[in-house]
Amino acid sequence: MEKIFRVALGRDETKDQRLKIYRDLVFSRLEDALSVSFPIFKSFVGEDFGRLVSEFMKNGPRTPILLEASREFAEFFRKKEDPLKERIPFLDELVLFEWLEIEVFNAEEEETSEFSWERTYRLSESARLVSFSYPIHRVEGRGPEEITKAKGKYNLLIYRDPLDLEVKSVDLTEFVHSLLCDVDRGLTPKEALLRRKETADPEEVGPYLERFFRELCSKALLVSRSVHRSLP
Amino acid sequence: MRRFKVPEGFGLGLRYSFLEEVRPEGKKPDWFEIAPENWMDRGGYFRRELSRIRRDFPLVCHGLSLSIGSPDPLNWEFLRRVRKFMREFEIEVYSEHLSFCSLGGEYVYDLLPVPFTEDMVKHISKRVNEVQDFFGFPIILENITYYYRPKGELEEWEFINAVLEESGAYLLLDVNNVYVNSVNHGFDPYTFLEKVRLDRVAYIHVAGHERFGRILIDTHGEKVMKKVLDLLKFILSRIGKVPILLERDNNIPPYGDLLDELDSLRRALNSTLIP
Repeated sequence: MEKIFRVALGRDETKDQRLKIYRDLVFSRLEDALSVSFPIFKSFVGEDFGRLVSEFMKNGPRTPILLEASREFAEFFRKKEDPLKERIPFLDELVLFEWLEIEVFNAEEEETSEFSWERTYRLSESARLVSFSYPIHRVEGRGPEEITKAKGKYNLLIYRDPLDLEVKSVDLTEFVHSLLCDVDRGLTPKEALLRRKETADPEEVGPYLERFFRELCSKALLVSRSVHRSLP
Repeated sequence: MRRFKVPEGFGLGLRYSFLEEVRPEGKKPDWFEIAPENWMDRGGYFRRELSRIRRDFPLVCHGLSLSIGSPDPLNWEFLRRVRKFMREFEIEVYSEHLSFCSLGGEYVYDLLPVPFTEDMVKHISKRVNEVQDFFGFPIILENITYYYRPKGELEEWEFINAVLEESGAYLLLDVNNVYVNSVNHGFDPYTFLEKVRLDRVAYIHVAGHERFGRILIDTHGEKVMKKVLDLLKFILSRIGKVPILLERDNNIPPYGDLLDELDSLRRALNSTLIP
């Protein structure tokens, strides 16, 4: 059993044509699944994608769920040294971004919460705050060089829109991003805002922030910490 | 232990590609089969669609990653997730494969053959019993396609019968797999069907296969071939009506075409059953 398993993962070579079928089947199943999970990543790495799938296979996925193998692939790629990363330095961020889109798309639904400056909140499973060094959310139609040149700081909220269930991302200013991070860590919006009173006048930015927070709450992207997930 | 009841009639494997086309009215399958691994712990779009379909159709779970033949311990965390999912969607039938797909905690996402030995019969039966105790109902095991046959002293039908006998599990008889194996390993599929415990069949799988050189591969990418249909008619002539499920995983045609194929099956087989 160990022999067929090792061949299936591509760890051992074999001359047995029938055993080889298993290696091809496993490779093709994984390649298909990972191509669906990481279409943009794949378009940038081109022919190297097959090599990466083979290396990942040999490494041995540890989840019984094929979709979750995509998360393991993203972790595997981000940890490994690879010459591709010198040529395309944003690949680590891209593979993470595409996985986060999957996570957010499949997140369980949560109930909406009322907004109050005094309550504590957390980001729901259908929202992620991230900071990238490249404009990963705007790579389509752009070449690697153009994206690489645009190196900077990109703060994003990746979220699932409850109306059409599509995953979207919105650019956040450094101020809003860090404030949301604080709220997600357990500060009330009021505490998070007062902490920044040296850089922003609460009277001035308060109404804008309140509108933004209310929208996040109405979409169940920001949920009260006292409300647990509505679905089992 | 509770009994399970596979829905009657002709079912279809539910696939993402035609999810939104599934409607309770008009031409439709009698039930759907789903792989829990592809649906569990998913919210949003997939949960909404599956909930909608569940309101109108019976569902049966057909697992992929139980790895019943593996020397590894059973993956209880995975089984808890499957059970939770089945309870949420009120699904009471669980079938799996007589194979293994994990070793040393690693997974290959394909069905690897186990050796047909007395030791493996004992090993699998013990694990099947543990799974059945966990679920509270008997499970159903499918005969797989195997391209390589590990050494073993038993014939495949002997092995299957022994597992069914010792574990109390039922049989998901994949007729396409019987045919593909008979060609690839040179045995008579009708003899196999004479020997295997047809009285333990809970339901039947049919699918298409493709030839690659000297080997038939169970691709689930073509229509059901006539020789497979003939085998299916032979089985029905022996055991009468039994639930039948059409599988398609590759080259998936439009939903309407699949329903047409299911209808053709229904007509061909119903005429077999009418004396």
